[in-house]
Amino acid sequence: MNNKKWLILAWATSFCLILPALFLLAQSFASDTELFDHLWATVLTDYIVNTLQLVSLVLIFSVLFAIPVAWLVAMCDFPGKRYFQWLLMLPLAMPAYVVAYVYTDLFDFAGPIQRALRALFQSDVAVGQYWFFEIRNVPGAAVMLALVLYPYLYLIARTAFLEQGAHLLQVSRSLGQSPWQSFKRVAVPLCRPAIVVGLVFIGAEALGDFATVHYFAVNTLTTAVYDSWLGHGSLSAAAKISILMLIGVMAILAIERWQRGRQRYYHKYTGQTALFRLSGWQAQGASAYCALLVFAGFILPALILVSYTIESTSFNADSRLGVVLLQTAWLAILAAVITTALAIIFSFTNRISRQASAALPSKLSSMSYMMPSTVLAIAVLIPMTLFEIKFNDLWVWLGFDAPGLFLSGTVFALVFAFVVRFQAVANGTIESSFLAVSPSLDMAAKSMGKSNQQLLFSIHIPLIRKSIFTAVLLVFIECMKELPAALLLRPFNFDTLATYVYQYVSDEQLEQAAFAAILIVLAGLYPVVRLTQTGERTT
Amino acid sequence: MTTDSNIALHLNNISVSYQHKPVLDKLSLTIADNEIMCLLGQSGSGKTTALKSIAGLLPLRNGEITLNGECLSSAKHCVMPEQRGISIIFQDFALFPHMTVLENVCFGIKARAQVANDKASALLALVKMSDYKSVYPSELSGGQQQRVAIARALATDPKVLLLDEPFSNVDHHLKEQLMLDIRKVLKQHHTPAVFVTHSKEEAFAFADKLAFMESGKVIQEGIAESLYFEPNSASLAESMGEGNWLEVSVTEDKLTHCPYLGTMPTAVPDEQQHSSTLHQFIRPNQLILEANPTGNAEIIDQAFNGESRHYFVRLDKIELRVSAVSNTKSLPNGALVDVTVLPHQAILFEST
Repeated sequence: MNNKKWLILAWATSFCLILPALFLLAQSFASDTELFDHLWATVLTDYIVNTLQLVSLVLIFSVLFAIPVAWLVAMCDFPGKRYFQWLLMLPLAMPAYVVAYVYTDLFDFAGPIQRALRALFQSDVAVGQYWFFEIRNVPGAAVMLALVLYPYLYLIARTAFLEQGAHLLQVSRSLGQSPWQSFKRVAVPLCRPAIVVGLVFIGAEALGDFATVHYFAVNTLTTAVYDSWLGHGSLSAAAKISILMLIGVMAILAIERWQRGRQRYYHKYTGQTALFRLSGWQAQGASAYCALLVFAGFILPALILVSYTIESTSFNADSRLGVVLLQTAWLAILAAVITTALAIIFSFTNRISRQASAALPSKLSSMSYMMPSTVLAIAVLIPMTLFEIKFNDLWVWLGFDAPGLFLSGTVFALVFAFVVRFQAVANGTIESSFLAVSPSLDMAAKSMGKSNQQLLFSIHIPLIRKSIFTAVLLVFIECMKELPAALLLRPFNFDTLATYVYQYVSDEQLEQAAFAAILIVLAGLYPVVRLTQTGERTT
Repeated sequence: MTTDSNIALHLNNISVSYQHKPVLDKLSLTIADNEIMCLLGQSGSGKTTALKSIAGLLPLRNGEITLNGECLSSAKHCVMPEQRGISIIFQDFALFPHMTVLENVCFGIKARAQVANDKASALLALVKMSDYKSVYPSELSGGQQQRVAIARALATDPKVLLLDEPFSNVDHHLKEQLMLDIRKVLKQHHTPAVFVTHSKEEAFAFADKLAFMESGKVIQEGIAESLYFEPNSASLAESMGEGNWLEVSVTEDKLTHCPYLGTMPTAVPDEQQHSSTLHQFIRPNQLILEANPTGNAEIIDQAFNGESRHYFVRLDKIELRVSAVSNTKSLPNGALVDVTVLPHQAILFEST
């Protein structure tokens, strides 16, 4: 295959991956708006307010959690810093709905905290006879989501603080600014682009969350998408609501870009040492704050899950778990292999092509990562159902029985959605590994008369095989954990590990699926270990 | 000459450790009003550490730093960097990339916006950057960034200005003019400065006084000529420029004698006249070559570097480097020559 054929292949596959987003845009202008108008007239305003409240609170809590610890770990020396810099990432492995469940269990009227308090003060009071904070509301859901999403912001902000280097802050202080003024006037404004990217990512995750808000009975735009599609079968209304959510994400990005104007953030340093050595109460406070986040976001939920597993014996009896595990595994492997193969095609094409546009297929196919997965699932459905309708019509016209929902009603939809959603993960891993291979190797191979395929299979793939394995593994794990898209797209009577656990959560019986939840957490720990090893992650 | 009355900054026996390793060891230094002092030395000699200690960015283990008689740092006391009135300019200029040139210069000025703007504008005019007020640092060249960094540092009317390798990121052809301009601005502002470099050319062109550092200590302090012609250590002699090492003895006439060059017209300082064997350092421009078909030395190689021509000459068992101004007629490799030593004060070190 010559360079041109590789380029056509890359463009064609990347076009397939952005097709859902294009169809979503087109579908939102479709005329079938009866349900959307009804929703708009009745509940949608409340849902929008709830969504705005939820996302705003998640972002505020994430900033309060992540920025102080990112600053402490990047710029200060305090006891335990070496361990906290990776411990603070552990909550990434914990699904938000599991955290929501264990905290509800903990703080409920019948939970151990309130029972202990009643035992301490009065033993015979009933519900409502004393004040205790309510967890099942918008702020409660926001805290739960922020507890597991803050590590994204922590990681990106820590890297940004480290890259600023000490010189800018030292100069600021030599110009008469105190440490706090230097933080406010120099460090934070310089981090702003990174912080915004982190917040957009967290905002998109919070927007797309269905499990936590549904468990807390908080109605958001995501709930409206689920109701429109699963309850009323209106893809058009679901698409319109999805577009509303997407506009929100784009607006935040656009505002930040516009505000930044001509400013450039070129300062990049590595290997800097701590600027402030904390001692006394400041050092103890720093360690305590980091420990509290790790405890609340990971250790406590993990301990409770383990105790559920030990107490509950019924998981042994559930023969479905084995089946669910197997079907989740092959689904995830399939999506991971396809995603990695596409990433190799994109990176290889970009490498051998002399055109600047050769980088675009990879960039375009990575764009969906910023899309809330609920929105993405709806976007995937639109071209599929349209194709199925036309295909069925054609088949009937030819005199055959209509094949029905052979795409959207099967695991194909799920695999396609996973590929579209996680293409960016594979692209990132494979692109960086290709960059590490010297271009002179290509020239040497070409000068020996090797074709593009021979270059790829005999030089590149053997050299980047470890990264290929990593990409497959990372996408595999993301697929295992993915819930909102799986809930919307799974075929009838088909469960993935995440939907299986969520089913028990929504039935208030997580104890029965605690072992499966632990498996999800363990799977989620691998990327955290990888992040610790590489030191940073690009979102 | 520095007297007690005009001392601006005084470092008195300061010791600093960095990550538990001693970096400065009982370093003492004085900088007078309106004086530009250069800390010169190889990488790892402690120059930047000394600068950061003066700025208050590193704590002292021992000793004391005073500014105009006021104690800034000691083992028990440390005035915060923002309260010292000492500005610092780093090698990378550290301009705030999210601020325009004018905002950068206004950053440290504590005054109403209009007053700050006027002051910043005047300083930008002084460093010839008035046309770039609304430009961001990423849009400037290295030399322009350097000028902005100077204006920003001077905007707070610092009592001392610290410069850490400020010319290493500036193009060679701009460097000379930039050094002259910045020196002029500092003198106009009567701002004493401490300047760190490992380049003797920069040190000679920019500073009034030099302090050569090695292993966290000042080995020698003085004007450029005294360090160049009267170095007190072999490493300083070599740092000031390449040369030839010869084993010599002292004659009765208090001159030096080498078996290959005979008695040389190089006077021996009083304190070294009683030594039996010494090592003499002779710079290439203190030797001259003269073509002679019966000469006892042979040119084995040569290199042209614009202003001068370097000859590598074999004389019996030794090799010598000799430089000649480049506009004189060149001698071919293999030519026989006589090597003559020009009269000068000998640079001598005890044999170790």
